[in-house]
Parts: sequence; C-alpha cells; structure tokens
Amino acid sequence: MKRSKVISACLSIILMLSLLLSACSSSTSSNGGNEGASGEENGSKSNEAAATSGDEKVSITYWNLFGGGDGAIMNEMVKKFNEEYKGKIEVKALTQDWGQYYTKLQTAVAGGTAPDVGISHTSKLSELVELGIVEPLDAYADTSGVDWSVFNENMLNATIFDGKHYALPLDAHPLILYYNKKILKDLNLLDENGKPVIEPGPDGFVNFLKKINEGIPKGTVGMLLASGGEDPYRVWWALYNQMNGPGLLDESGKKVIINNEQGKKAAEFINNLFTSGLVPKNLQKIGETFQAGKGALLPTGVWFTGTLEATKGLEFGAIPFPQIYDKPATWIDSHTLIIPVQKKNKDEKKIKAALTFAKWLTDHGAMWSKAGHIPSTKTAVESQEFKNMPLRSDYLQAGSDGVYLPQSPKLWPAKDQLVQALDGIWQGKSSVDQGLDNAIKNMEKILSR
Amino acid sequence: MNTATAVSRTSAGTAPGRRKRKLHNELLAAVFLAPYFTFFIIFSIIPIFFGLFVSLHKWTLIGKEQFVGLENYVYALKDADFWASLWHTTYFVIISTPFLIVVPFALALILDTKIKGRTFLRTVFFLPNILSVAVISFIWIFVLQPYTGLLNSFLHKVHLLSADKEIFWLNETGLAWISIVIITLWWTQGFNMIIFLAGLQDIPVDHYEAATLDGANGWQRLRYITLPAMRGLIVLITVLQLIASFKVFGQVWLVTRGGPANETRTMIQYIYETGFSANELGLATAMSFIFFVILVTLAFLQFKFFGGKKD
Amino acid sequence: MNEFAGAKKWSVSKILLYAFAYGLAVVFFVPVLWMVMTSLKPQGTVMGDIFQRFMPPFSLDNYVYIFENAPVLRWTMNSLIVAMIVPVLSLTMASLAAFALSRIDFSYKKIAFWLILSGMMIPGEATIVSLYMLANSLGILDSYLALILPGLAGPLGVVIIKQFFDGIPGELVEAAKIDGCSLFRIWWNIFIPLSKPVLSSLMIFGFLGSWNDFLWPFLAIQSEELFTLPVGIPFFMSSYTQDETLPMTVNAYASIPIIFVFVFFQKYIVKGITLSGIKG
Repeated sequence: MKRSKVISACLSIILMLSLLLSACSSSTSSNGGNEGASGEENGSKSNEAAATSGDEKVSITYWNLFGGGDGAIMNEMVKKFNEEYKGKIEVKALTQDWGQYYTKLQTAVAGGTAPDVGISHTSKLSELVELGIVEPLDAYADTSGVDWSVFNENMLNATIFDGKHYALPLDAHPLILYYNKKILKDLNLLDENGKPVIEPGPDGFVNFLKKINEGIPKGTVGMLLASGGEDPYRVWWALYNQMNGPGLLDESGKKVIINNEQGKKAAEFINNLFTSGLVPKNLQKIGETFQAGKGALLPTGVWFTGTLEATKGLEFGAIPFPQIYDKPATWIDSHTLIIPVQKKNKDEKKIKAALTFAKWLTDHGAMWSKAGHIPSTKTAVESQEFKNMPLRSDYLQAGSDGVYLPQSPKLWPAKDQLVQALDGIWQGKSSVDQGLDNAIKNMEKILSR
Repeated sequence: MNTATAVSRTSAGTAPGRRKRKLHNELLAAVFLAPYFTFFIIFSIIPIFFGLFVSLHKWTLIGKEQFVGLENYVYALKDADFWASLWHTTYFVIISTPFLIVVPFALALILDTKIKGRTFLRTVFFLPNILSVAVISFIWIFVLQPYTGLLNSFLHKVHLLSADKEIFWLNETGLAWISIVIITLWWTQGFNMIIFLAGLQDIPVDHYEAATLDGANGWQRLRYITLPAMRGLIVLITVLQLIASFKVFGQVWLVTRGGPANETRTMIQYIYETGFSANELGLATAMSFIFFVILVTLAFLQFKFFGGKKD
Repeated sequence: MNEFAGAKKWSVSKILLYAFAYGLAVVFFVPVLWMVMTSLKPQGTVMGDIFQRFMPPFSLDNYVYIFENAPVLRWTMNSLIVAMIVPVLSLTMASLAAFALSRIDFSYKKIAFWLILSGMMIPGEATIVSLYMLANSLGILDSYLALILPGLAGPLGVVIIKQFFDGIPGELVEAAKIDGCSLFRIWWNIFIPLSKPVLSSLMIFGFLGSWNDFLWPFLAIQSEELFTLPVGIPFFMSSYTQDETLPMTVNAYASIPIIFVFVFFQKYIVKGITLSGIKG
C-alpha cells in the first residue's frame, strides 16, 4: 500500500514537471507567434503595395559569430534592413559563439536545420565548399540584383571555387600597424601628416624600432608583438609575401612549400626581434597594453579600430603593415555571407531573400566598417559615410595588398599547426630550419588525410 | 507481498525458496534500476555504440563518407601525436592527482572542526567552482602573465625576483604544467572537498568521543578513525578524479592553447582538434575508444588493488 | 570532530590553523571579487593597473546594458528551469539505482556498475555528434526536452550515492524489515534522509553542471527563446576585441544563482542523525 503511494507520488511529480515543461514551451511558441503576428500587422499596414502585389513576407534566419561591439553594429544593420524591407523580408539574426560556430553550422546543415544565411571566413570557405554545405550562388545572383563587379577583386577572387561564386565578401580584415601618436610624436618619429617615418628595408624598420625603444619611458613597450599565437604568424605571412614567397601549398594542395629562402628570412627577421630584445618575449594582453597607452606600435588586425576609438584618452593612428621587403603585402582574411544548403524544404524564395539581405549588407559596408573592417564593395568605399570616417581610408589599401591563404579544405587545422611550429621558433625550442620543417611535417600530416 | 525479505543479508531459507528469492531480487533490482537506466541507455549507451559505428568510417560533422574498417584505429595507434598527447595527459594526471586528493581532504578536515566562520570558509573554498572555464582562464592569465601580471609583480615587489627578470609561467613547458596544476587545483578542488565533507559527516560522533576518552590525540583520531572510515570514499574519489583528470582540456586549451609547440596538448584537446577542427570525426571517435579502454583498465586495476575485498 | 580547533585557549596550532584557513580563503576569494569589480567598471575602461580595478568609479551600467540588449531574463529562466529539474529528477533516479546496487543482491550487479562507471570514461567529444543525431531523430532538438533529458543520464550521481549507501549500517535495514517496511519505504524513509549531506552536495553539483553546460545546449538549441545563459553569453563577447567588462558582467550575473543554491544546500551538509535516532 505504502509503496504504491510512493510510486503515485513519483508519477504525479513527473506529470507535474512535464506539464510545467509543456506550459513553458507553449508559452514560448505563443510569444514568438505574437511577435511575428504583430510584426506582420505593422508590415501590412505600412507596406500595402507589397501585400497587394501578391508578395508574401519572407522570414529568414541569419547566423553570425559577431559578439560584443561588432555584434551591436551588426544587429543595428539588421534592424535597419528589416525596417527598409518591412512587409517583404524579415531577418532574424542570431549571434552564435564564435569558438564553436562552425561546428554548429555543420551539424545544423546535417540535421536539416541550417540558417538561411550565415557568415563564413574566407579561409574557412574551402572546407565548407568541399563538404558541399554552401550553395553556389550564380544561379540566383542575377535575379537578386547581385553585381559581382562592384566587389574588390582581391576579396572576391578568394571566394570563387572552380569559377563559381560561393559567397559575398562582407569585409576584409588585414593585418595592419597601429601606433600611439603621442609617443611617436614626442620622439619626433611622425611626419607632417601624422604618419610614422620608417626608413625602407628590414634595417630601416629595425632602426625605427630601436629609436622608439631608446626614447620611450620605462614600462612602455616599443612594439607589442606577442611571441606566440596568431599575431607573429600573421606578421610572418606578411613578410613572406612581401618577398614574393611562392605560397603555402604546391599545386596538389598536399605539399607545404614554406621552407625556402623567403620563409626562412621572414622567420629570422621576426625571431631576431625577440632574441635581440627589441620586442620583449611572451607579452600577453597586448591589446590592453596598447589601450593603456603603454605601447608604441601594435601590429594586429583592423578589427581593433572600433575598440581603440572607444578608448578614452588614447591618441592613435593606423597604417597598412609597413613594406619591409620588396612589395607591399600583408596577412588578410574576410567575413563572407553564405547560403547554407537546406537538406529539407529548400525554398528559392528564401534563398533570394537571403541574397537580397546579403547584398544589402555589402552595399552598406560603411556601417559595418565602424567596427574597423574594410568594406568589400566600391559602393560602400565610395559612399560619403565611409569617407567621413577617420582612419579607415589610411589603411584601405591593405585590403587590396593583402594575400589570402590558399584554398584548401584542411586549411584551418593546418594553419593551427603552422602557428604551433612557429611558436617553437619564437620560444627558442627549435631553430628556424627545424621549426619550418616541423611545420611542414605536421601540416602535411593533416593535409594528406 | 513482503519485499523486505529480498534484502541480500537475509538469513538462509530452504534451497528452492532461495532460488525464488533470487529471481525476485533480479526483478526487484530491475525495477529500481529501470528509471535511471532508461535515460542512461538512450542518452549514453546508444550514442556510445553509435560512436563505435562512426569510428569505423570516414565521417565528418556532415555525416558518413565511407566505411574504412579498423583503419582509424590503426592510424591512431601509429600516430606519434596521439601518444604524445596521451603522455602529456598522463603527466598531468601524475603531477596533479595527489594534490587534488590531499588538498580537498585537508580542507574538508578543517571545515569539519569547530573553526569559527565555517559556513563562510566553506562557501569561499567552493567559490571558484562556480566560475566557468572561460572566466577562470581569463583570471589566471591575468595573474600569471609576465611584466604586468599579479604574481610576477608581487615577486618583484618582495625582491624574490630581480627587477630585470621575468618568469614566463605560461610559455615554458615545465612552468606551464605547474601553472595548469595550480589553476586546476584552485578551480576544481571544491567538488572533492564537499564530497569528502559529506563523507566526514557520516562518521558517528561517538567513535570520536570514545577515542578521546581513551586519550587519543588529533593525529591518532585521524589515523585510526577518520582514514579507515573514509577509505572507500577516498578510493572512489581518486578513481573519479583520475577519470576527470585524464579528461583535462578546457583550462589548458584556453590558457596555453596546447603550446608551446604542442607540448601541453592533452588527449582530449587532440581528440577535439581531430574531430571538430580537422573534421575527422571517425578518427577522433576511434581515438576516444582507445583512450576509453585505457581508462577502464586503469579504473579496474585501481578498484582491484585499493578497493579492498569487499565489493 | 577535531577538538583542538574549538579549544578555548589560543594554542599555536590553533592560530596556525586559522591563519592557514583564512589566508587560503583570500586566495580563493580575490579572483571572484576581481570578476565582480571588473563588472562594475564602465565599458571601455582601461585596466592596465591592478589596483585600478578595485578602485572607484563604479557603476551598474553594464548590468543595465545586458538586460536592455538581449533577452537575458528569458535565458536566465531557461537556465533555472533546466538546472532545477535535471538534478531533482536525476538524483531521484540515481539514488534508486544506487539503492539497488548497494542493497539488492542480483546477478548483473557488477555489469551494471561498470557500465555506469565506464559511461564516464568516454570523452563527451566522441559522442556528442551521435547524441545530436539521436536527438534529431527523436525530434526533440530545439526544445526543453533536449536540454533536460540527456542530463538525466549522468553517471556520477549513481556511483557516489552508492558509495554512501554502502556505508549505512545493515542493522538499520534489518530493523526496518522487522517493522515490515517495503524496500521503497526503506529507500525513502531511511536511505534518503541519512544521505542528506551527499544528496545536498550532489544537488549543488547537478545544478552547477546544468547551469554551466555549454556545448550540448549550444548545439541542440536554435531559437533564441530557448537559449540558456551560457549559450547566450557569447552575444557579449567578440572574438577580436578584448573588452572585459561586459563578459565579466554576464559571468558575475550568471554566478549569483549558483551562490544562492550553494548557500542553501550546504547547510544540509551536517552530521547525519546518529544511529539511535532513527527507526524504520
């Protein structure tokens, strides 16, 4: 008897919980429904023309990996788009954790629940194309009014695979050089336009750095370059390409070809900065140090501009990463807009709406460049809004000079190994030669799988 | 029906009665186990068996590509990086586990005394546990970074470190491991501490009282009452800690990225990189199963040798 | 209990004990304080100096910001629902299973125990994609069920509770049997109350685990209305910029409920009732 009481108690608890659950979930859906309904109402009022012409409102989902300040700007853009296209297209943007974004994107495509439009880095695109999870866009581009000719060629070409367009580049974020204006001015290292005076050649740059190091107060760092991770690798890639290095991979895409004169020279140049003490080893939180005004130079990506501008009391400038060797070149990557493959319910209307939205974003790249990124289209670069913004025009050229990593489906994991091997050099664990050999060995292991 | 007769220590009855009781026990146990096992089988065992299936294929996050048999296993076993990361993890386990058992045990003992502010101390000692791995990594990078970090600044101030020298806690392999152990200890010991504390509550007070009357000092009480009474729990926590430590990943990944030059790359990081970054889910799953076999063997041996005869 | 800590006189060992315990408390406490202090700094503040962090000016602007810019309350609700339901249900079921493993004599006991234990040894990274496919075919993705059900399979509780059940004296069971108690009653009226300390600890950890869980909810949930806090938090973090204030604000905010849960449950981690105190 007593036992059955316990059982019935348990059962009723479970029942209650499940009721609670279903209550919660139903309230969710009704909330969502209400929002949608009210949105539609407003839409139909303000845009009756569209409604009468038989166009239904298309709702699309948009996944991105922009958090923090970037995310705020992106959400503002989505809001503006939704206002402009009221009654026709509604974009629902969702910010996903950037660290696991691609995992989620891929599992969602596999599960048939992919978003209608998403973000991909140019350097990640090869993998997504290889896996067949992004739609080629050529069939829809014309009807959605996408004009490929307005895009920056350097940025666009990196997104073309076998002659097919797979993405609309949204921006470019090359490696550039930030400098603290106040520090350099005090050392008389700025010209009349407020740009740093750097003599040509590797010695010129080293001398420039020496002058800074001699003049700056104690506790301030001349050049904030970490001796590990992505930044020194990006500098290495910039220098390698400035010397016309033959690239990362051979034609087969399986062989890594960086252990050559250019690769060594670039690595030696960086390594000497650390071993000679021109750049202190193992700097951490370099961005914060620069923000605090305790660093003269900071080579990193353009994404930092927005944050630096918001930093109180910091006077800074930005130039393309200086040409130290034969030609201007730097590390670069882009955010692009992609249409993921829908395994269930592929809907051309949604694809077109997604492309309309993607095109709108690229056209309004000036808004996006508030974060610091370089716009991808002529439309955006030539807009008054972009021209009015400080700094961006100073490093605009880097968007065309930047050299993208090659197209290879295993690029990201291979690059991670390149970074680890280069770290081995900067940490003094391996010589330049050994380091590059390690890089080749570990990268080819991944590429050959 | 009188279910109570089913309890194991029931005195013996007649032979057929015993057999009947036996069958009864099997069913009764099934009733008790059923709710948990329903979920356990659906959400743990089935995915594991599906994982076995995955490990026999070339498989990406998108899905199956082709059947490759045991190729993934052969590849993993021949892969020097697999063994290197396994060694890194083992090394971490060896240097961290003693601390992760002794320190929380000691803290639990302290909290079990009549020390003033017990509730406060208990909460504070547990506090780091509530933080996410992202936050603790962030905090510790700040503490350990050279030039401006909390620790080096402190060492400079008290002249333990000359002003022109820096200790690179996170960039030299040996120091990086020490840092990781400290971070892990600080972050996770609260779990073991609380379980130990719960275990200490189970030791009847009269045992201590009797010992005190017999003139036993604190050390003797620990040696002859607390430790024997806690033995089973200590073995269990050690096994659980070993399993947890072998799966170390998040804090290492965020603090050192497995560097410098992959020298702090742990097993799970390598599995993670293989599965999610290199998109070789089949291979990563095969590695997980090899790793699994190693862990099961270890746990089994541990129970065998330290668990005592009673099971 | 160790008596010397409670002795009236301040012996050397007692002073040492207090110094050690409270010194350690500082080490454990400062980073959390640091998180809270950072969250009180205006966005974009430069925190080059350590002491600057602990100095005014403070403001609650960041807290206002997170509530105004994202459905943080909704996410908190979701997290609370999941983090309360999962441990309650899973501990109920785990303690039933642990009871069988500890007190019933049956043939597949060893297999069951090792099955559960080995469930912990498979790295989650290996099975999470399988789990995703499973949840997809069950049609529970993007729902509360996806957040709750897989959490009920956690093996840790069973193993630990079994250990504690093993320690409960057999005489108690015998006495209860003589009183004619069913096994369910013995479980409910004797084992559960006697295991309050460990069950409370496991409640804390169960809550904590669900509350901080990231990868699974991240993969399983697609609608913003169903996000839990950890899935929503990246909304305030950028991969590029290094603003600390907002991430620390959300994290500080997210840790408040856990502290409450801890403070509430830890008071049950006290001496169990002595043997003579109970009867079945």
